[in-house]
Amino acid sequence: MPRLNEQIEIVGRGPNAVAVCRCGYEIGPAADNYKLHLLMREGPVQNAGPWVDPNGIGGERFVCREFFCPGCVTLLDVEIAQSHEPILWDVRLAVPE
Amino acid sequence: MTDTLAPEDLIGGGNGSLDPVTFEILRSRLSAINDEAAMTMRLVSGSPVANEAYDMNVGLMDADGDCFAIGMYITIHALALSSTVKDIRQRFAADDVGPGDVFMSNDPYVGACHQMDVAVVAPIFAGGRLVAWTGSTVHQIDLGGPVEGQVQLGATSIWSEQPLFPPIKIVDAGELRPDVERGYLRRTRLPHLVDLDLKAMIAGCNVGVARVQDLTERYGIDVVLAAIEGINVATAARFRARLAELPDGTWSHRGYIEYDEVYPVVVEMTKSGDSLTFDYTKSADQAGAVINCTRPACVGAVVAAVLPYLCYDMAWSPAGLQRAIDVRTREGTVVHAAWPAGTSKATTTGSFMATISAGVCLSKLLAASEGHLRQFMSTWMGGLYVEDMFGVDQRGEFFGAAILDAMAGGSGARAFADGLDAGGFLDSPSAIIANIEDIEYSYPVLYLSRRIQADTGGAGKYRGGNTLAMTYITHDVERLPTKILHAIGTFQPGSIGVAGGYPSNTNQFVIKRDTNVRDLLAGGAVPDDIGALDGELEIFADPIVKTSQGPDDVHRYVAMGGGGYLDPLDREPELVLADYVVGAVTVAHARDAYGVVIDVDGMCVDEAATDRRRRQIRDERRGSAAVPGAATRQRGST
Repeated sequence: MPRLNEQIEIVGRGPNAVAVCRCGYEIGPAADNYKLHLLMREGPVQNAGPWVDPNGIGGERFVCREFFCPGCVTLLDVEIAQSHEPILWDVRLAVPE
Repeated sequence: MTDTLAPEDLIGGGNGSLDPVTFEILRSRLSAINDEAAMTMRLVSGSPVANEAYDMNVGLMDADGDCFAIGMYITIHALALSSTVKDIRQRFAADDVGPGDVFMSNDPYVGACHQMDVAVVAPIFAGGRLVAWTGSTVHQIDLGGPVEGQVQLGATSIWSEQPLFPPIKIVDAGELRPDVERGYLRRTRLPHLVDLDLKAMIAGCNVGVARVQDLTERYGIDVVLAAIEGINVATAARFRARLAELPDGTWSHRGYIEYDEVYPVVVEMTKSGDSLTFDYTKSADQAGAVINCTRPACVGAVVAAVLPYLCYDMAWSPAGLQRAIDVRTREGTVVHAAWPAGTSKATTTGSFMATISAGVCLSKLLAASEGHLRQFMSTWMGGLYVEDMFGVDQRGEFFGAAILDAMAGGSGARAFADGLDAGGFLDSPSAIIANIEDIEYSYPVLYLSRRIQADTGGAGKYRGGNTLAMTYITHDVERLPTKILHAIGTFQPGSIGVAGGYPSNTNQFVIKRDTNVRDLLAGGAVPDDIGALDGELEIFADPIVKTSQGPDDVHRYVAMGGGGYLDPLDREPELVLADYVVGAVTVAHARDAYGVVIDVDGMCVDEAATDRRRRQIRDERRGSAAVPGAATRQRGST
């Protein structure tokens, strides 16, 4: 079964294929950016860890986006981005026909 | 030879092809020749950059300049050697390239990674035929330009960076050309050191030439040539077979270079069947100078990422890999500079982020494969900090140094274990750092500490490797007048986590001015905590800083760790405790990131408190997160 990683599998074929969390929660169509169907928390880059720009010298330019499964709230991805940038579509698997 | 040639056409297929045993002997021998050339270079060079930090490499190329075997050092250098040879083949008449010749170049628009990585290459003749090339590179500490060291602060184009020289003949039929040598050394502030490195690179080439010639005499020229092509063909075939086992799809990453503004390096990697495409065309337009890399460096950067992620069990033949890899770039970008954009810091900015971004995509490709998951690695140190230092040393001599301790960054988490603390960096399988005593002997500094810094690896079920933090003061001199501190950025971590792992820390460099460190030392204490010192903390926000250090100033810098893998709440609490015991994680980070409450007195996990804390974190997640709203959706996804 195709999978994005250990946390998210692709179930089904063609236009019916969906991304599914390991907990069984159906995230959304496999043809979509899975992150757009997850819970997202966007905050300062310092949320990524205690040694991430601890002095705040970067201001608010960069943000930390944490993406959780709406079913089990497992953390499925962490994205560092400039605050104005769109959510990155980082994995687009070829879905079986 | 063509891409469609199967290995059996060359090896073990009869009809005059090479038998497999002879092929393996020759393949191993050619690899050993690279090892010997590299060892020779290290022993001849007086530069700590070469013989202490291994910021160098060697390579063997076929007659056309395609690199079929590289040394186990800075991998991106291999493609620089290849591009340099191809340029010589194109621009020099055939009878201007003869036995005993050696050429050198530092021109990034020809092939050098940046001006400091001088490429020295030599043709290998046997029986009157050009059969191959050998080459060597050592990073130079100073090659002139308005600013000491590599980073030409204030440059607006390549005209205000280090002088360039396209390939020129430094050795003519075995005779060193003193006029060229003199012209080369005239431009550097460190002529003695640079001259030693030049001789070291020539010595490395001499070894390569002699040993390959020995091989042709023993086995015959045609057999050696068949082995060379066999290496490329076999590597291409094995690489394509590996690709065919992996899932198809497109993986994307945005990395960042901070300079006068933020320059995203954007890559889309498409794996389809048995081929791999890296598309960097959406990367930011180039800067005027300093941070860009040229296309050859970008291609080399991609190969530098592919080798450790996908080729860990095959011959490292860049030419073989390139038959299955397509790298697309757009001229005028930060990863494909258009003349006359400057490139003086390319290897720690443009090409560095090209490697890291490709590596992120490759790590996610492996994460998507059950069969190859064990080879998965999250992002390695995503930003290299370097300090260039110039002044008068404890012996009264002018000196220049590149302090490369930060190469001991953290490696990325694996799918079954943590990343390695101070594991090195992706671009070199042999990277090491100098002993503190060697640095203190060579330069006027005294280390107060150099240690693995807790909590710097990205949190995850498997955490990223922690990195090093160092503090030092001046020693036996009045002051260090010139310190150029530079990194790819300080605002954000380049070492991204994967599948729910967090990124590493950020590069950090600070100086605490006018401290009481000397008094404490005189009293017998070793004050290795900068926070406990009196004085005024100067925090540098810019990714490139030129400053100085007085006798009571304490310099601290923190390199970059590796990225984590999977949700940290899935980490076994006993592993968090084990990290605490060895100083790899603090009590606060254990609680905040892993939801593990450590009973410090009992030196055990408080299981009930840990259960409560992990429930609390999950509740906080549910309460603070939402499906991306209208504003975010309007921004869309890319």
